[in-house]
Amino acid sequence: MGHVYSQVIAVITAAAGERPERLVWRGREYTVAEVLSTWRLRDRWWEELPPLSDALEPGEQPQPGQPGHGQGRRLGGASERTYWRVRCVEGMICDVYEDAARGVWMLDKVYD
Amino acid sequence: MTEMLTESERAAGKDTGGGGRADGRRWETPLNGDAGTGTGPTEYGDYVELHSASAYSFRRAGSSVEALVARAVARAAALGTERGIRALALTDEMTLAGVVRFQAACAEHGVKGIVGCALAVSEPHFGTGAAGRQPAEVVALAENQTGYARLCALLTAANLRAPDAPVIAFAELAAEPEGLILLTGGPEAGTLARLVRAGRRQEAVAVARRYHAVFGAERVFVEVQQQRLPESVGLMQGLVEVAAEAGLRVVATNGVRYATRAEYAVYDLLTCVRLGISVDVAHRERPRNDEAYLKSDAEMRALFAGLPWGEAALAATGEIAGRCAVALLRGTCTAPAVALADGETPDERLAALCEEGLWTRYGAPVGRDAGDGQGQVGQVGQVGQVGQVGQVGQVGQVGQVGQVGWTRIQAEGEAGLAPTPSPPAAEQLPEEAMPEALRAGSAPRRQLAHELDVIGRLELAEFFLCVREMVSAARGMGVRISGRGSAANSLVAYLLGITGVDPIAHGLLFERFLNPERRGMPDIDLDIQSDRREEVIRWVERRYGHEHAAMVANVMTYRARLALRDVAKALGYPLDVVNQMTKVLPHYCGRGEIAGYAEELAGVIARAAQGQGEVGLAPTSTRRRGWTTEIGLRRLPLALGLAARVCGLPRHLSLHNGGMVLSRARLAAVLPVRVSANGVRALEVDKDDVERLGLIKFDLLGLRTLGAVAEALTLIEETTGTRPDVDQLPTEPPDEQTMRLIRAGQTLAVFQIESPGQWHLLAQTQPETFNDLIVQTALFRPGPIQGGFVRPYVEQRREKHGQWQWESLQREQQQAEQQQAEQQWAEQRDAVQTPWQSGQADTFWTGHAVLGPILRESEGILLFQEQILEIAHQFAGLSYAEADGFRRAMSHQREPEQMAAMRERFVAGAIERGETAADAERVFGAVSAFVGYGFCKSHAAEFARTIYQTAWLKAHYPAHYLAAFLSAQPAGFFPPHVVLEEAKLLGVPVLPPEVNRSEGRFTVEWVGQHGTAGSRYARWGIRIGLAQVRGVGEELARAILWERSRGEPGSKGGQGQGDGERRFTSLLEFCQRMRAAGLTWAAAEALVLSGACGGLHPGEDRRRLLWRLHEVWPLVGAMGVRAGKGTGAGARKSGGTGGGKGGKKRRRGTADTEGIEQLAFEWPVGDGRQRGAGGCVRAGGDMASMAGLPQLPQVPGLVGLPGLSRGERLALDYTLLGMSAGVHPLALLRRELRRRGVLSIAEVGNVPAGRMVRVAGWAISAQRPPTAHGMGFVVLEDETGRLPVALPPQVAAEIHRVLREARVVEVLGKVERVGWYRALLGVRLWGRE
Repeated sequence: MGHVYSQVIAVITAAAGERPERLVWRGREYTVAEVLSTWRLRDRWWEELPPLSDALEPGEQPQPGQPGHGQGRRLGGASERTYWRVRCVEGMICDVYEDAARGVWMLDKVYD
Repeated sequence: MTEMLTESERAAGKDTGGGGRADGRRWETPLNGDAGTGTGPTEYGDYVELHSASAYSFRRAGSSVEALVARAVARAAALGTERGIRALALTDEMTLAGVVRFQAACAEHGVKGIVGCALAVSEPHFGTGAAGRQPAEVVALAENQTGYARLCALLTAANLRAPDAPVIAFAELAAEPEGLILLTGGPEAGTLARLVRAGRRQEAVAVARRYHAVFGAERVFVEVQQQRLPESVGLMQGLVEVAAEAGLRVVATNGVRYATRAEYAVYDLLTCVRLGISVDVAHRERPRNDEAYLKSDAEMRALFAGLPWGEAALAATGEIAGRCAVALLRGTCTAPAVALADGETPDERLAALCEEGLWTRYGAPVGRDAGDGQGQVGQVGQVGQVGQVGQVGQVGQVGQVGQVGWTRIQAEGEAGLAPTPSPPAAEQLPEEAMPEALRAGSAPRRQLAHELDVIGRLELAEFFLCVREMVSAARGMGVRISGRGSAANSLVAYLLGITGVDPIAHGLLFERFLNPERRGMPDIDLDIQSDRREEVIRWVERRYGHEHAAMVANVMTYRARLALRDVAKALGYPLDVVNQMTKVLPHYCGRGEIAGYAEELAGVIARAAQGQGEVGLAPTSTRRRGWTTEIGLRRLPLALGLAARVCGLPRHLSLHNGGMVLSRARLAAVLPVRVSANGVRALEVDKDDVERLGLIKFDLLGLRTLGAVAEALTLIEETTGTRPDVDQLPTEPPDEQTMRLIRAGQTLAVFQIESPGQWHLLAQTQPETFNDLIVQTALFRPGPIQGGFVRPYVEQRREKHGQWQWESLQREQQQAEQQQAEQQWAEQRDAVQTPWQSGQADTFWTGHAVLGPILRESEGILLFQEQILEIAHQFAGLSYAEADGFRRAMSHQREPEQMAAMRERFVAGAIERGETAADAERVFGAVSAFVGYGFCKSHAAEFARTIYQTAWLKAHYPAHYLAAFLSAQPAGFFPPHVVLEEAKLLGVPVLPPEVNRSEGRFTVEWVGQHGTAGSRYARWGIRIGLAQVRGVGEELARAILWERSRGEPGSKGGQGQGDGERRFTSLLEFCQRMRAAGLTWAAAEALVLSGACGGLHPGEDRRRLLWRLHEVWPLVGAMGVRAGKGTGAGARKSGGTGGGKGGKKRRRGTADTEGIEQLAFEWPVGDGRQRGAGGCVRAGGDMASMAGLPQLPQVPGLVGLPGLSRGERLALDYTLLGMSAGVHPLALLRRELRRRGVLSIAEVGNVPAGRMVRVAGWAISAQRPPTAHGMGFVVLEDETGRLPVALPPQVAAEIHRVLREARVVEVLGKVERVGWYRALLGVRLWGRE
């Protein structure tokens, strides 16, 4: 049995793309003891925005009215998630994922 | 777990034995040397991908085989040989279509190509219950040739059993597992995986044990994939446990669907295309992530790290790779056996047939009969006496040269099973009685001896006998057939009747076709008249058997238009928008050019949404759930990018239009065989792959022109009583009337030389001989054009022939104008802006003692491949065999070292023969640059023969030939209506379709005579066929003819009937008789509106006839039902005897009237067949004369019904016939055009060169060839002629758009002239409403 949260959380990794080491949720820090499983899901690649117009400088965000505004850093509706099912030292077992499209970590599900 | 793995490893060590893994990294393997893996121990790294699909799985994978191999090579290069992928398996789904290319790519890159297939296996214990009903996937890898043959046989059996969804029964697979290594399939489709996922673990174990029991532990591996999906780890663990319980080993694969992660989108998109869904729709078969790419050893190792069985699973891949060794590329196959007399060898049989061919081809001996009942063929002169419209002079005694023909060859009939004929023995004849060509030591005899020697040494006698059998059988069936390609270089082929051009007379070189050092089988291409090609194919299948003969497949790859279409549909664009988007791209559009249409496509999307599309879309038609213009515009860059990436990928297999393979061995052991929708068996590879496999291939190509020739000859025979023998036309000298037609550029509908570019070239080259035609054929090719060879040729030729003195020119132009044209020659020619402006004649070649004679026939330019051979032989001292090897090597991919070696050999040989080093280098440089563009002279010669024949027919029998050519459509460069206009321009009357006169196809009719009393000529017109009427079709046309032909002695009705024909006498009678034969309302309406029923009621306009049809159709509908119920005698008996006596029942005319509003009146049913002769229905008129037919009421509406205007009739003609027997559409605009100062095309002929004019015409052709540097070429047509227009790039860019919106265009341009040739250099082009 698990609860779905879909909340942005802070996750610390040894390096980009590596497994989570620690995560902070509701002000509490959890240390990952073991990775039980990992998987990747990719969807809506066709919503990836075309290259930003030349008018935009690198790193500049689309303004209101421009394609892609409010849809994340680089991708439109596209999602590219790397999931980690981890058991924390504190006893919590949860699924967290890194959302590459938005550049954030999310807590997806916590198991009882 | 550990114990299990240990057991497995032990088992592996025992099972693999000497061929297995010795030290964990090396295997002693009998490798396929052609696969580029060497002959010694080979290293594959730790991981070899054994389960990978290519685009040959047809929309089930995203990368080409070449991309997969390149990826494997790149990985190997990046990681070092020790750990890189040096082997790769291709396991497409239920097909081996890609394996030959795969092995070729592997051989090129030094990768070991393992052949396998993902089989769909059905078995009661597989794929039932909770796991679903889909067949289970089993990956079968061919361990050796036995396994490969088994794989082919399994696929063939499945394909033949269920072509649409082939499935292999488990029992079949289990019956002969020898030579196969099986993997249990991926996580989605493998039976074990499906059972484990469904929680049916014990069943999975039972299945795995059965695998073990049936195939043995050494042949089955449980496949595990870590594709980073949520269930991957659990599933792998379950499979490992199942394997352990069943005593099987596990093997790791990645279930590859694309080479790199970047191609994931292509794979997903193609999956959507295959499923018929858009990307916005979820589907279980779509990928959930992008992990199915070809991973490296390191990546796979990382995925399986930490798993106790991971190392063993990875290592098993290398072990399996070491065991598999199948080489496909080195085989050669033998021709099927031919029937021979007792004790006769194939060589003897061939020699005997050639000896007879010598007599047949080179003339009968003096004082003897032409021979063996062949008689004299080709007395064509009598036919010519009849004359033709448009012909100049009378046709002479064609056929005097070559009094013997094909009779003997034809007479042999099937399979050449007749005893070998016995020509007069040369030794029995006195020397003076022998034809010179047949005497000992003559050129033909020397050449024949040489060729037979080579053929004997190569053991190809049966191959030639096979081809001869085919050709003889075809001719025996009355099918026109002609060899083409390099085979025409062979005297043996000529003597056997396979080809029709004398190789000795035309200096053709046998070594270009065959030489002792040639590897693989020669191929012979045969042109067959299209409409009877199937008969020949069926004969071949019957003769050699289905197991030994099959067609070749055609791998249909994505081109730009189809790619954009599929991509746009999958990206969710509404279908009507997709249709318009697709039209934006030209038919020939490179993948790199697609992005250039972004702006135009964006416009289409925006306009479509506003209902302003080309086809007038209603705003609602683009509505689709969730779809907006903004989405369409946003996805456009993605669509263009994906379309470019999809371009070139295989999409599906189709039947090759002529490729056929023959083999003495069973084909099912060589490649899988499929069966097409129309029941034709075909190998599932294309002709290139067939060649790589060393199979004997024939191209049985359908050529509509040959059909047109055959039909023309039949029409001539039917109408004049004489059949010309076009195979025996004189070529030395050629028929002058024919050559005049060619020189005058009246070549529309003439084979190969009918395009505007050829008109221009003909105006410059003015061919006079048959050899000139050979050159003409080869000259108008991309190679010579791009190489700048055309201009030097023209310059040289003009220099040789002096001033313009062509008769056609003299006829057409005033002397002063001619001089002016002469003075401005170079300037004008350049201004016409054809691609061959560049290039200068070079006297080095023509003046050289060795090169000059070789190049004389082509005015000093390199044109033919045979010339390359001669230069390499005579100039550089290579043997002919070496020279052909040199030519071949230079034509293909050339490595620098290989080039250097060739140069050295060539230059050294030339110097040895007294040439200077500079000249030798120069010649080598020219030859090596040209060799890729050279055209085979023998091929050109065979084409020239057909050119000559078709031109001869057009010159002497224009009506007959053009009628036949129209029946053979689509054929040639121009659409049919242009061919019909050509007939009108030549003065041939064109007659509309007519139900009482037309046949199904185009025919000729005698329309009177012309000329003076002393020499009257028959005048023939072309009658448009009924099948040409849209909605009628060949079947109904045949039914009309049949009904018309059912004449009864003494009961001829109607007017003008003859030969027992019972012609239709009225529209009502026509409908009544034809209704039961399948006449539909749509067809009847089309016949009326096209004018085909005009003869039934002379003087009545089509609109009035349509009115009449509306009146009679309800009546006929009821009669039709009755007639349909009993068309036999019984039904007729039930009718009355006229006057409505028989059918007293009264019926309402409501039956089967297909939505036509009914006229509500009743009438007594009678039997139409009882009516009196000559009766004529008058709607609302006197019906009493037609016993048995109902009376129609007077219809007031008929009175005063206005007739159709000329424009309306013309519009109907083009809508329903695609052409018109009436005036040209431009004629209707002429008055208005003249008022505006727009010239007719004929008037352009009177305008001096360089003047600007405005011309309007129907655009009958539009091209932007890739070799023309952006220029475009349009041909305009009006009622006076045709005019080519060259458009500079900035104007040409608009061609596509303008012609999409209008057929009639106006051009402002400068007049250019070269001899009789007139053209415009357009500066502006616009469409007319």
